[in-house]
Parts: sequence; structure tokens; C-alpha cells
Amino acid sequence: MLTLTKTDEQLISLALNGSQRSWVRLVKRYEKLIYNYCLRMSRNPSEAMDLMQEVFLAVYRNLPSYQGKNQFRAWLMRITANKTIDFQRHKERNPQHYAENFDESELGHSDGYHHSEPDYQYAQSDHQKQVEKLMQSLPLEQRMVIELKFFQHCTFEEIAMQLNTPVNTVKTRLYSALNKLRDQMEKQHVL
Amino acid sequence: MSCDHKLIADHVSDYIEDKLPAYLKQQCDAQVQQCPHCRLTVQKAQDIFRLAQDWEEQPVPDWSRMQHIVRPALRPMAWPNWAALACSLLAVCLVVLQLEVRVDNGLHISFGGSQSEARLQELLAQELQNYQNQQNLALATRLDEYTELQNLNNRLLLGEWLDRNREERQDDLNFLMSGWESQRSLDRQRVNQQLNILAENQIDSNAYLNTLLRTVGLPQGVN
Repeated sequence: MLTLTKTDEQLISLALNGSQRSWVRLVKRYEKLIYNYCLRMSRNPSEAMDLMQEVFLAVYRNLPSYQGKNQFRAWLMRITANKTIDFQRHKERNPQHYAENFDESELGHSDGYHHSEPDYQYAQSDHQKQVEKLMQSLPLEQRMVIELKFFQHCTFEEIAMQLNTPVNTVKTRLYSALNKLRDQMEKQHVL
Repeated sequence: MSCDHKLIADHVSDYIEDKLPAYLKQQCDAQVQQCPHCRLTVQKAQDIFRLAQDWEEQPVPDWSRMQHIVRPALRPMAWPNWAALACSLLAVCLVVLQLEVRVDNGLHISFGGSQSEARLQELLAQELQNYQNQQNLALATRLDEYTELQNLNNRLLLGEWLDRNREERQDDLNFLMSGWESQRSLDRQRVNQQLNILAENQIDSNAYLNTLLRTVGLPQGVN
């Protein structure tokens, strides 16, 4: 049977031998997944682009050390998780980001969106927006567990491997995140 | 009946995705019905699950996928690398072949071949002499240039001084001549006045003498 589509490992091998075309094909295969992941984490298209580029740069630099067998996606997601944590920490250390957040709330953009980017608009009900806004209030570790569990449909074992944490910790984080969302929803109902 | 929420905490994601075995699903159903806390937890999980299902994949904006890729292609070592290596080895060999190690009267290492100490001293003295000659020549040239420049400056200064001196003397002479001429003019006027007076006196004297002669009856002899 003739297979036209090369596997990840074949593309990686060709890229390591200098084939830029193979590298581009590999990037194109996963860039949408990574971009949307970054978009959900950062809620800002330009930051998502920066983060995605950092991820692929890290992937390229570490490509020679990739030893996995049919596990490129998991390896890629692990790098993405690490880069997201680094990016978020850098963002929190950078006062400019605090200023931007402050301005946004002052201007009444309380739904957590960055409407300055016109390409980032999609239909959402008010309830969805509310849930998403509550999700943004979660700590990054809990948000990443939700991302990997509900958006990437990973198992707890896969999440644990990607985040380099025990499975029970992953379950605890998920449950804590749901509890926090529940508490905030109750507070909003009271108010 | 009290609830420790553990059942839902362990299986909430599989429960909302309907991946639990039948017996566990029944237990969870009962738990959700009895415990408001668990019910709200499941509700939040379902909200997020729906949010994930409704998420519209956003297209990736255009970007340069090769912008950070600067690594050259991994190929076997090309011939220029071998050539560079060969040149380096040749250079090392040349240095090594010139190397001389002597252990007489201490360890002596030289890279200049078998030159003796006296020869080295001679070469050093010759180099120093050459250097001194070059320095002398450079100093003499510099001195000549300075002397020429100084002479030129002196000539220019002297010419300037002579011009100024000549102008001053010319002004003085002009002043002297104008004074002398004015004085001479005054003297000439005074002499003319005296001559006129003398002439008038002479005329008067002549007239008086003629009158006197006519008085004594002598013919007039003076005009």
C-alpha cells in the first residue's frame, strides 16, 4: 500500500538531514493545534503567536535529542506546556502586562477579551463567555489541566507526563479548578 | 447521608464524557442527585466540556516558519574543510620542523633553526643599527624641514618689517618736506615784502635827490 503522507518521525529525520521543506511540513501539521492552545492560554492573538513561535523554536533546537517512537505529539505538547509556564511567569514579572490588564478593566472590557484584534472573534453565548472568563481567573496550572483534559482530550496519565507531575496531583488540580469555578459562580449568583 | 465528594472528584471528567462503567455511572448519578456540591461540580465540568466542544479552531496567521532556522544542513564534511585541515597540519609541521631543542647548559627551545647565539646577537645588533639609521635619517629630514620653515618665516617677517619701516620713513620725509616748503614759502613772501619796501624807499630817495638837484640847478641824473 502506497503511503503519501510521511510520518512525524520521517519528517523529523529529513529535517535533521537539512530538509527545510520537511520541517515546514511538520510545523504546518501541528501549528494550528499549538496556536489554538496558546490562544486559549494567553487570550491574546499576538501573544499566542509569540508563544507558538517560541515553542517551535524550542522544538527545532531540541529536535536532535528527540528519541521518541510515535510520540512526537506528546513531546511537542510537553514543550508547549513548559513554554507556556515560562511565558506566563515572564508576563507576570513584566509590569507592562499589569498595566495592559489594568487599562483593559478600566475601559470596561470585563469579559477578558482583547478586542483590539479583529481576527479573533467567534460566536459565543453569554454563558460561554462567562464560563471562559471564570476559567481565566484560575491559576495557570489548573487552567492547563482543564485545557489538556477537555480541549486536548488527554488522559490523566498523559497530562501527568506532559506536566511532569503525579497523576493524583493532576486529578486534584482538576477538582480544585472545578470547585473554584463553582465557588465563583455561587458568588456571582449572590451578587 | 454525608458526602465526601470523592467519587465525583475521581471520576468527574469520565462521568460527563460518559466513559464510566455502568455501575460507577449509577453511583455517580445517585451522588449528583443527593449532593448539591457534587451537582455543581459536575455542572461546571459540563460547562467547560461544552465550551471545549463549541470552540472554533482559529486559523493561524501568516508567519515565517523558517525565520529562526539558521542551522546549516547536516552533510558530510565537504572538501574545503579537508583543505583547511591539511593547511593547518602543514603549518604545524613547518613550525615543528624548525623547532630546535637543546639541553646543553639548560633547556633551550628555538623556532628559528640552528642559529648560534653570536649570530643572533649579530642579527640583533644589525637590526638595531638599521633602526638607529632610520631614526637618524628621519630626525635629519625633520630638522631640515623645520629649518626651511623657520627661514621662510624669518624672511617673511623681515620683509614685513622693512615694508613697515619704509612706509614710516616715507611718511616722516613727506611731513618734513611739507613743513620745509611751507616755511620756504613764508620766507619768500617776507623777502618779497622787504624788497618791495626797499624799492619804494629807493624810489622815494631818488625822487628826493632829483628834487634837491633841481633846487640847486643841476640837471637830473637819478631816475
